[in-house]
Amino acid sequence: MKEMLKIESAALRLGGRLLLSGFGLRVKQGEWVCLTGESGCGKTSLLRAVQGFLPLEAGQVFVNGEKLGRHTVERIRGCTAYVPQELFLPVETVGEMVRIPFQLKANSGRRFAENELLELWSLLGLERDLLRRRVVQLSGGQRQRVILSMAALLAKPLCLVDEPTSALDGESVGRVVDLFRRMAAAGTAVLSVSHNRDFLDACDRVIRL
Amino acid sequence: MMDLTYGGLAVGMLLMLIPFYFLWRFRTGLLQSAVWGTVRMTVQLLLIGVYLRFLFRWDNAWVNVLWMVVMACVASHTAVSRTPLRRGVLFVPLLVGFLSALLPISLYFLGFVMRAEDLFAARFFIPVSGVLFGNMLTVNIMAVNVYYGDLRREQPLYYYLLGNGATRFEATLPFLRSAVIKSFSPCIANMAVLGIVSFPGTMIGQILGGAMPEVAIKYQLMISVITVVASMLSLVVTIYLSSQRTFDEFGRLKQVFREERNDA
Repeated sequence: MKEMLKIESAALRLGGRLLLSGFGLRVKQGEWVCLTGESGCGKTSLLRAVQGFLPLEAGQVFVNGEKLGRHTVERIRGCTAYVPQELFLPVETVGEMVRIPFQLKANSGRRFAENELLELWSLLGLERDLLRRRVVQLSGGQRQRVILSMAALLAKPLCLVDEPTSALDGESVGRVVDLFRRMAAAGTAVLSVSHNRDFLDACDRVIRL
Repeated sequence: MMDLTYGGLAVGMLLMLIPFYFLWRFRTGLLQSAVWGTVRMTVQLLLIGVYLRFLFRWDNAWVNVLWMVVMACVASHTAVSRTPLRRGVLFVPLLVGFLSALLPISLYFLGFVMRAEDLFAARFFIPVSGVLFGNMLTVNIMAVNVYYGDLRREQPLYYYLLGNGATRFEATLPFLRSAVIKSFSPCIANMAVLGIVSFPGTMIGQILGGAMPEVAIKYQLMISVITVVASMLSLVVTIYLSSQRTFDEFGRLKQVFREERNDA
């Protein structure tokens, strides 16, 4: 299997505090890896560093064989789906919200398919009529699942997800686990951050920071 | 032309006692700043009257252009102090934004619309520049505050878009859109009611000064158009140039806010 993400000897400092040192990680195509650890240990920061949102103090990041740098960062982000822990998209309806990533130039080759989205929603336990609802009417859990479905629909080679189950009940966590298994089976390499026991049990590999 | 006497001006200024009274009566805490603002306005306008008299008497193109550059520096200084960004980041973008909008638009208006023989003549160039400066300043302060304020507050949205493949322009577009909407909405709303519920200053000034209403209306129309155009141009240039300094090569928002520098 092709190596989608490689982190070599990474050191990460935030607010003067050294969070990681000499950290290495490899994630292959179709593999689902989960980062866990105490709050403030650098899980989210590591996800952000993979996309160049935080500078590494030392070490290197490779995505799809390409080293992260100022000349490659746009290409690397183009082949990545990213889901932050909290997000509010400034549009009126859910229908507009789900189309946002598909309007970006880097994703112009990826067609927005409403039927595929609704199929993902059925897997995630979301109702079809949410599409016509206003974004402010969504609960935290619904919004989280809608954003996850957008990432899955993009079908990028690498997916980075921060705490995808933080606003979900037990049943919904199981549904999100199914979604991640499906993404991995389709060849997406998934690197997620979570504290949820069921979620950690379900992934291919757990890295404790 | 009918002039106002200084005695008449003083009688007119007495009207300010009415708002001063209510500001005091309602305990707004604004009385002192309102009185200070009125004093400043009066002194500033009287001083402008003095230096405009000299500018008009000299009527030298170089002096007029120099005046415009000095005004652009003052406007940039004022705008920087009313935004949360560091001076070193924003001053030059604002200065270039003001000048690059003001020069072509005022010269276009004076040359192609008014067909003035001397484009830099003080009696044309100075008032047109002045009215453009006022509007550009208001729009730029509002736009810069909204753009960078939203970017700082809604970083998850910005990084979400970048993280899903957006270029920096695409990722900042929601913030730019919001800045343009909020800074231009008052302009657009004012234009829509011009002549119905509001009579603008330029038109009133010309009519009181003895111009025919038709002439005053034509000038007002053009002044409204060039202020909107110059404001939009200066906003775009200012945001574009400041963005070159506020983001690094990875698209990360740098520490450009004043309090961040103090924290560091």
